[in-house]
Amino acid sequence: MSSALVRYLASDVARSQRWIAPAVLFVAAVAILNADAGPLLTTYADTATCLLPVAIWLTVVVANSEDPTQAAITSVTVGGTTRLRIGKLLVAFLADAGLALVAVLVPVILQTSSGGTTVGDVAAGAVAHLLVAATGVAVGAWLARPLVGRAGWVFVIGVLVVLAQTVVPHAPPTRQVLVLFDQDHPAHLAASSALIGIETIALVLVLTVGALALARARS
Amino acid sequence: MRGRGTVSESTTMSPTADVCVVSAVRKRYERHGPWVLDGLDLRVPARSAAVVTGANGSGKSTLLRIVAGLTRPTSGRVHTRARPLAYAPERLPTRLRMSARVYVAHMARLRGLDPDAGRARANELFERLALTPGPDVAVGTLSKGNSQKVAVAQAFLAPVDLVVLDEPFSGLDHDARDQLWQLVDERVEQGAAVLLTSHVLPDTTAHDVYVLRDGRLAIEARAPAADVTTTRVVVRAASSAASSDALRSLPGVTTSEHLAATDELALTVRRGRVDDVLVAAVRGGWSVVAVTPLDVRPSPPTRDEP
Repeated sequence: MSSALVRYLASDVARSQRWIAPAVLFVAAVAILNADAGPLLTTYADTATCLLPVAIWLTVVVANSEDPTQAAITSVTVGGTTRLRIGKLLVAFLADAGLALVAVLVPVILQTSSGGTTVGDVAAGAVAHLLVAATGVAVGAWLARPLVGRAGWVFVIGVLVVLAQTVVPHAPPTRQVLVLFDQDHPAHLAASSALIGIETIALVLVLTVGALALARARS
Repeated sequence: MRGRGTVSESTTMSPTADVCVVSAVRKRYERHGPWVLDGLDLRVPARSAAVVTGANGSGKSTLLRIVAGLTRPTSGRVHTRARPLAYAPERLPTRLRMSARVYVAHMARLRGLDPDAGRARANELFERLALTPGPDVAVGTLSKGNSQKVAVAQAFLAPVDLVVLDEPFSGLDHDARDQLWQLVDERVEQGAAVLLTSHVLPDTTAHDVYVLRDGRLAIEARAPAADVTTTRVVVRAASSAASSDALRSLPGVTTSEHLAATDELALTVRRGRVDDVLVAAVRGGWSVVAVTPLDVRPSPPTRDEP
């Protein structure tokens, strides 16, 4: 995906200011969760869970930022509506990755956790945040125009998805991360993270390809 | 089942080929809704422009969106041999917060122009179309006509095989209309196909004109045969206001030559533009000396050799 498209979309979204609310809410959540923090992995589990609704919200913001007429010009200019939609999902993921970086680095730099900080824990935390971010993007692809689009439905479905992700047993990645990171020094942290990663990537691919195909058929 | 229509693309293109072929296209937006397009056929050859007219809601925008690949036909085939193509919608959104300069620069970069070339071309287009108050105002705050100029400018940034313009003249003043016709002519001369809509009959006879009615196209006027379609117009200044630069920049004027012996100006004008040029010349303080079709060349004057 061309960097020109990423730059254009990012600059369009930046001007809309609609990214500010989810981003500020997330940074505030990271601050609160680090104020009286327990072990590092527990903090990561909480911030990663908070990232899910924020990633869904940001994806809808990025995908719907262009007016449909404006998006029509951009589609023709880049050579197709699907190409443009992929560009928007990429921009949303990059924004989420920035937020994930904040969540991963704050407890390391400020030494807020009660236990020690190991490289393995930080790496597992970074992977968990990126997997949750990717899931949020894939869910957001379904909630944005032209599939759901209307604000009321987006809110209701978004809340239900976040709820399902946090309470349904074995739901990749959020529920699994919550369970794995809740243990005191989990054995096989790297192997378990890799397994969650494989399941999540499969889920994200199916959701994203499905959303793109349906959006194309709907045009 | 939606999206049964097919849209195919191909990259190979011969100079005389149809850039875009629409066959038996039908489109409706709801399952049991009315047919907006009902068995529509259209061929747009390279080196030509087609104007589609029709009443409000006759389906002109739908046809253009289908040709541009933005909407899929319900049934029928659209074969577009054009990659890349350019598209200008009927109206730019008032939500567009970027300035015209920034927006068009982004579009130029998306088309792969290098920043300097993109800036230069954008400035040229803003100047030719007389964007007012200027390119540094947010697009969404521009008047309808000036917003239209930005939509047109982004469609003429880089050479493309097919230019699709939805009501490009709406809201444009007289000078901007002339400039737009000239931009269209330039693209046609470069070998592109141009498809545009207008809800009023265009004030030109240089291009194919179709009427969209009951979901189908009917030919209204055929452009004169290609190639040998120029006319020589000789004019002489009749007032001090006569400006040769103004005449040279008229749409359809391909060459101009100052005849020193008689202090006259000889113009080569594309057929179909001759009336416009003659009217503009007389209004501009010129007097018409001669009008000669160039495809039927007059026999050279005989000269008595000593």
